[in-house]
Amino acid sequence: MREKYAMHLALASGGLIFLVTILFALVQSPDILSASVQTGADVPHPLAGYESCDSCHGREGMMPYPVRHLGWSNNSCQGCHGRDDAAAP
Amino acid sequence: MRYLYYGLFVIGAYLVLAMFPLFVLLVGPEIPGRGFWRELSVGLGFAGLAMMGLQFFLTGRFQGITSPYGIDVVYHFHRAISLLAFIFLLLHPLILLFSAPATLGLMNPVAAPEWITAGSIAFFAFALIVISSLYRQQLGLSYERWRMIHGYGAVAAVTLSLWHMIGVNYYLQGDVKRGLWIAITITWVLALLYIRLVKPLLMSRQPYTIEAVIPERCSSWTLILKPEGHAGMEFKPGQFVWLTIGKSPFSIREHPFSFSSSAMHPEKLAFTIKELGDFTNTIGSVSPGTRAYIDGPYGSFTPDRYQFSGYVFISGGVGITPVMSILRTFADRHELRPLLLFYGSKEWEEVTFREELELLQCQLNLQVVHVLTAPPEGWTGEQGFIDAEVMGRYLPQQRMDCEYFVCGPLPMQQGIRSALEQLGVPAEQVQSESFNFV
Repeated sequence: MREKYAMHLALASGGLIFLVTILFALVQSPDILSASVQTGADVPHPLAGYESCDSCHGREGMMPYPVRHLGWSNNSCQGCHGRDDAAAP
Repeated sequence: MRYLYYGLFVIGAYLVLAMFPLFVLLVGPEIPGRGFWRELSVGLGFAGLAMMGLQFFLTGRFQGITSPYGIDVVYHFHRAISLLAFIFLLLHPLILLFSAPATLGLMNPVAAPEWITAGSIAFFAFALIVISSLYRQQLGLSYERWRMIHGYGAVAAVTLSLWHMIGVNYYLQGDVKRGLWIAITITWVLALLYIRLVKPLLMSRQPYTIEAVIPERCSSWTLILKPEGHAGMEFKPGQFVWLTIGKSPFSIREHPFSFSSSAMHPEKLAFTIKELGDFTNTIGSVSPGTRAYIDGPYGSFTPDRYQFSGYVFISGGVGITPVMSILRTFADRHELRPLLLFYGSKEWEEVTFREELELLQCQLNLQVVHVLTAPPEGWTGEQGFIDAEVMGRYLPQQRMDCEYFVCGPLPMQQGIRSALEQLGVPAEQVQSESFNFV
């Protein structure tokens, strides 16, 4: 009985914390609720022919991206980083 | 009502403290998110760690935390919430791998940055703590070794997790947030230091001497403890302590035992212990004069919390110990309210304290009902197990006005609870404590 009571209390608490964690994830990913917003810096070079971002910007590349970008794939870069048309090729 | 409101406050404070570190992440300059799944993974990591960190407080035996619920509920809560926190921590890398499979490469400890490896080791340390707690007996771990793994493993896991978070350097950019998380982590570790260093230090200033070791029926022994240079310990009848015998108070070899003596005599404490395991089997060989240390008192298994017009006790075997403390206290207080004790034993010769119970029936408004599973020939009393039928024969008509105390093995407690439910006794009037943790 007391063990069950403690378990129910733990489940309710854990559930609440989980909900708040989901809320945190939603707050940090407003794109899930609205249109995707680019937040990263523009790409200062043409994109055509340079689809493999990791080649130059991977951790072993010439211009590695910040550590916090670890785990993003080549397909995801343009989700935040757009083409700066004014930039020189 | 006082305990209800205070209990709500304690659980509310726990939730705030568990979620506070998550809110800290959102303070200050806006940090762009990296997609729902990745942020959920990160959030679960932070929340899981915060929940794990708070375990240091839950297991710290702080009176302010345990008093509204009883320490057994707090320990069961600790066990259950730890499992949930571990699931959160498990989901952290799993969701990350699912949402960004390229992160799998980060698991290679040869190529991975140190802070990634620190996170991986922290996770395995948490896994070790959880597995050793769930399967201690199957793994053949002694209680002392398990406690060492639990304590040192927890500190290592939390410290490595902090290294991991700072190493990722995303949400903890900036001195304020980083400082806050470091402060939170230090608070957790301070709670552990309080348990392992400060508390034993306080205990060392209030030592006790074992004055006598008295054999009782049914392979049980009563230890009589006298305080050395202090007034002893104030406690409520039915409570228990963690007892360290013949070792330093800094030793991790301590065991929970209920008082069997009257709460009116804090200057002479008694604990009646049955030979049931490695440690308790050695109690009979403890020499008078041995030094002992006490951490306590703890527990909510006491009639002093609420006032009722009568009390019913149901105990099995050595479960009589806290009940004896209550009855002896009542005798010293010249209690007049009606008391009923159902006392389950195997054989008549094994009934611990049976002679004193006879005397207490003369001093108190007490009826003792012995229930034997292996009665002697010619036994005219109750036999078998204590069930609704047996209790129904003796319970007073105003049974709803009584408080019930059940103490004995877990299966017995469950059986008695359902029997009392059949008899219409509200569950909130039935008190029991269970200490079957690891």
